Amino acid sequence: MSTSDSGRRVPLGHGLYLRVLDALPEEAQERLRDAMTTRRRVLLRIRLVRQRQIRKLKRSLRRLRRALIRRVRRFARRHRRWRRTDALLRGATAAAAPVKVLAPGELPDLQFAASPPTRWERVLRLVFPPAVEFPGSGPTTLVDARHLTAEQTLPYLDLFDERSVFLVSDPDIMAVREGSRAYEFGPITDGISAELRLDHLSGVYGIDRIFVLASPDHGGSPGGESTPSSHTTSAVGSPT
Amino acid sequence: MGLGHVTRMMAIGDELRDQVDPVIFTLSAALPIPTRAGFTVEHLASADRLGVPVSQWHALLDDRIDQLVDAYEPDVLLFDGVHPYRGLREALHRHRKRLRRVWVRRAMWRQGVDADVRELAAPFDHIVEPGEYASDYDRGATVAARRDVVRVAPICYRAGGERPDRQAACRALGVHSENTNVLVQLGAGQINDVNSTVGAVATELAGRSGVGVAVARSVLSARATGGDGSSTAVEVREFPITHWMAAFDAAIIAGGYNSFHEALSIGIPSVVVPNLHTRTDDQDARSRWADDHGMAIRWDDADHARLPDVVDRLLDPAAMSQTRDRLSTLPPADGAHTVATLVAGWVR
Repeated sequence: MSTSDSGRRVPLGHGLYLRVLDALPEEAQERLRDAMTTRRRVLLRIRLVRQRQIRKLKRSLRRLRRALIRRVRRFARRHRRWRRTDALLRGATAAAAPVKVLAPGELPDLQFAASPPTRWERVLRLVFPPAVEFPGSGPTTLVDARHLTAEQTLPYLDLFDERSVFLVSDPDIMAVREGSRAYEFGPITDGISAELRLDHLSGVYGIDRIFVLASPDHGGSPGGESTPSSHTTSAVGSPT
Repeated sequence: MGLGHVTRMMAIGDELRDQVDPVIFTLSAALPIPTRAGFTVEHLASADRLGVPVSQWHALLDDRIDQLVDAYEPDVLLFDGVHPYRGLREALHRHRKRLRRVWVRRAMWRQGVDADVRELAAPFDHIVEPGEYASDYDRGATVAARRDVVRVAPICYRAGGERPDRQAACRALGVHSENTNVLVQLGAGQINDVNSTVGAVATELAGRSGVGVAVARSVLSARATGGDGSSTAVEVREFPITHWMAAFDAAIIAGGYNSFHEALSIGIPSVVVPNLHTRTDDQDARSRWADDHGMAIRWDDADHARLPDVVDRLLDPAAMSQTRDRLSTLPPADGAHTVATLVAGWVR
């Protein structure tokens, strides 16, 4: 509402329209009504067209986003496949994560290799994202429990954070499944060597560090750090 | 895969062992079973066990199949399951030139499960349907999609080696051979809890003179569930239980594919208890067929009042004899042999 110079309140908008309509002769009223109806229809049409265009644009953006995700995933998968092929050809593991062997009963040092990734490592992970991203931040840990029975593995489950995956070879996995940590079954077979198995997991989870749980029967090398190759050959023992 | 899928694959794998090296890849926790049977076993945990979103898990499954195909270089891939996962379908499509892809698709889906069976079947070269004694009562989605499907006899896993006679089987399981022994194979439940189906059945049977009761427990369950030990029923964890069937005169079983076909193919008079809340398996139709044709007695475990009458009918000697006669007319559950022959032919 607004006021005129004399201070009298005059209506605006639809009120003004109605007042003007009343002031017009009947024939003119009819023409004004028709004109206003046409105007409303045109405005409605414009709004609908605009909304449709926005919907189409949003849909295209969603499709583009999905296509981009698919392409990145496909690229990452190919990358992992190349790495596997490379590992097969060279007979070497691509899992370059630092390794620590835990003696029976020894508690894990969670600060081990927990330094934040370098810029180059961050770029690499962005370009070649792992298939699985655990929640939270921090290093992704592989706990190699292949030398332990499921029962021996159980006490270790809660010693590692939720960005950890346990690699077990005891087929009796029911107890490990009840735990709150991710696990992978890695039987020692002729088909897949210990090195290749680690390489697979490295590609899938983006492993930053490896803890090897030494068997109580063998003792292992307590607290020792080792290279991936010594891990896979001496600490774990290659089945091949 | 659940236990039923694993055992079907074991049955086919057993038949193939002389010619090829079967590798069983399973999502089930039943790893100890095929491992102890001497199979090479690979496993991937489900999405919730790994704590990852389902979309990531499909990518993981896809990637894992890639790895296994690279590592084991199989000629044939058999998938036993109701729903081929997206990750599997994508991997199969990529390996279409390298692999013969076979879907071992159990029939007897519940009405209303409106999965697009044809679309699901698209990534496969062949579909094999394990036989179903109750197929006349099958009204599920697979019935209309049977074109080009290879239908074989029912597939049941039989452990190798000679089956023990009654005396040896009873001794091994701890039941008396002079009793009328009844196997109760109904899954979870406390023997002493009369509110559970297992408890109600065990109590009903144990109250009859000359009747021995053995409750089959999953070989995967770690702890005893016998309660306070007051029950006279014994718990057995043997696998496969069919190996020890000489110890039993009758059975009260769940209506799943495996239990049903194992019991009927062996010729043991049974009460079939359907699970009416499965997602796809039409156990209701399967049990109705058996009841209508005098092959077994159907009992809905919601109707506890009818249990004494059902047990009376099961243990009636004349009725048992008639049931055995009718069961002897069923075809043998040797579908695994047929599938193995097909697979051996597809191996390059």
